[in-house]
Amino acid sequence: MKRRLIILISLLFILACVDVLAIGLSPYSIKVPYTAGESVNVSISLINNAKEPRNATLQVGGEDASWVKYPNEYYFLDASASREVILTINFPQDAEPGMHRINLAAKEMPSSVKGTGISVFGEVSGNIDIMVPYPGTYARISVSGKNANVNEQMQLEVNVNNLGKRTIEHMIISAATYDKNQADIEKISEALESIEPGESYNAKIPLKSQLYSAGDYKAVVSGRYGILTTNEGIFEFRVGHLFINISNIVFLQQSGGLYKISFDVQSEWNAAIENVYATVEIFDKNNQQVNLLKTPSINLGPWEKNTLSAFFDAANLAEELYDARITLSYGEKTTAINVPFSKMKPTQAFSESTFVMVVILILILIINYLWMKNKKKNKPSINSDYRL
Amino acid sequence: MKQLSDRTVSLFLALAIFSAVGGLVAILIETGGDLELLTGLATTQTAIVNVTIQGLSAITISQSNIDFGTGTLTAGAAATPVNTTANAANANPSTFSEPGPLNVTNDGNTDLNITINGTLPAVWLGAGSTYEWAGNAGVESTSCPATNLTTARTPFSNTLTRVCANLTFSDGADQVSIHIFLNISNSATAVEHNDPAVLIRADACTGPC
Repeated sequence: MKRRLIILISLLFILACVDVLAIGLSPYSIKVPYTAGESVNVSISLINNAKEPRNATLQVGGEDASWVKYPNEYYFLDASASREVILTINFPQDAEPGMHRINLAAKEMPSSVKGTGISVFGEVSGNIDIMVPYPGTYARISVSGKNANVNEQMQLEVNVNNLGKRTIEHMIISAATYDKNQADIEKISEALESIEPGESYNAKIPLKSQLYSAGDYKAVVSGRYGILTTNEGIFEFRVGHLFINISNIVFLQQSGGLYKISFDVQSEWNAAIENVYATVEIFDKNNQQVNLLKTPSINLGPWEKNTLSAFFDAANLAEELYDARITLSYGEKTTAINVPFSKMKPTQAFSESTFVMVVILILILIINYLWMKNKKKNKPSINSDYRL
Repeated sequence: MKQLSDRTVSLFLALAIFSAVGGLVAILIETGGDLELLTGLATTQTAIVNVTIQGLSAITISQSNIDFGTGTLTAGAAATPVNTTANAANANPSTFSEPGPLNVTNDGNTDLNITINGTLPAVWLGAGSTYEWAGNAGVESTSCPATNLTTARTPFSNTLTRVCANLTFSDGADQVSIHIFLNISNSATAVEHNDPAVLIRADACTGPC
């Protein structure tokens, strides 16, 4: 028998003190207007929140990183201190219109890198966004808002950005809302005053809340200026009502006569609902209540979906069809639903049919074994001996 | 001399009080802010206080070195598992230490997307070993909800892989933990092994994270 060598290997990791890394970058997002051929200084701070001094680096990346000049060096950061770094952006005479992003990465390193097991570095990122204006007039529009409940005040928050080189005069904003079947609900127009190049305008367009019943809606907003039209801004929103829907009701047979009932509950209200619970009543064919159970209570956030469940003992119930009535209670309101419940035969760990199958399998194996043995006995013998 | 009735005296008293109070009100209305005798009177009716708070993207990582110490591989086993989650009750084999996970805390004022990368195990542990990480909720489970957190054991790779898609910043306990798992092959050599470059990166969620 061949013996296996037992190899003992010692892994050596040099012990190191626990160093905390704590790096920050402020501000992490800077917007700088493009001024062709000019330079602009941008100040950012590298922050060390650790209780010990640290070394950090600042890296500038992206397609337009060459626009930025900065002292590319190791920065020594005192404990719990920050250090200002000045970046000089040299704008070229010509640049492609649109958004240009310069990436920033402040990296902090452990006090000792060599021979310290797994060395960890911390890095936080930031960016400088430079908008190079489009020639002529060019505007983009976006729309946002909030979900609401029926009869609550609603408004669309529209933002128009002048990304061109000319002033935009007399823009007409058109907003239209639709329900989930694309049926028109409301059409609104609003005139804006002038928007200077590089500037934006925020408009709040109120909606007539009485037109909106509970449901899902979509707002489409665009702006027209002269012969030009902006992009379409789309905002999907929901109008809620105080109702919790019950769905996906499942009866699961557990061991013995124990059953588990579980069902999903989904809030259609745009606010939290506290103390949501359900009672489940089981009625027999004579409409006599044979079981009553209550689920634990839960809180539901706005539009939140969750699952309620409860166990009940049906061992003493006959194997027939019952009617289960689920009543969900929340505040002053309830949601009720009736579902059929069929009492099944209790499951057995080892059923009769399984037992029969196992016996047949064993018989086949025995017959096979006897047949092989018989066949071997009838073969001629070979008078030879092998030794390995 | 005829004495004044009590009723008349009361009337005079009411008139005197009314005149005194009315006169004081008239003086205050007329002189307004120019009345130098009144100190602390605001010279304008409203004041505006401007406070600009800069965006801060910042993280703290609980340790800069994961140190498993020195140990012996399990005899006869194809590989020896070592991890940061081990504790006194469930210790790493041999004398390997239990350094604990990397706790990453959001110290800024913006939600962060946390990613990680590292060196491939074949490079620093040798062929046959595995080197994985797994995210876990920190001290506050709501800081990185389960849907945003990678909890499955994930092999380290050269590219940044998401740990938590949206680590919130609401308080000082906004934390996610990263556990590290090694399965050291029995063919690993008896020398010091180091991964010199595990990077934990935080990107501010300026839009949807």
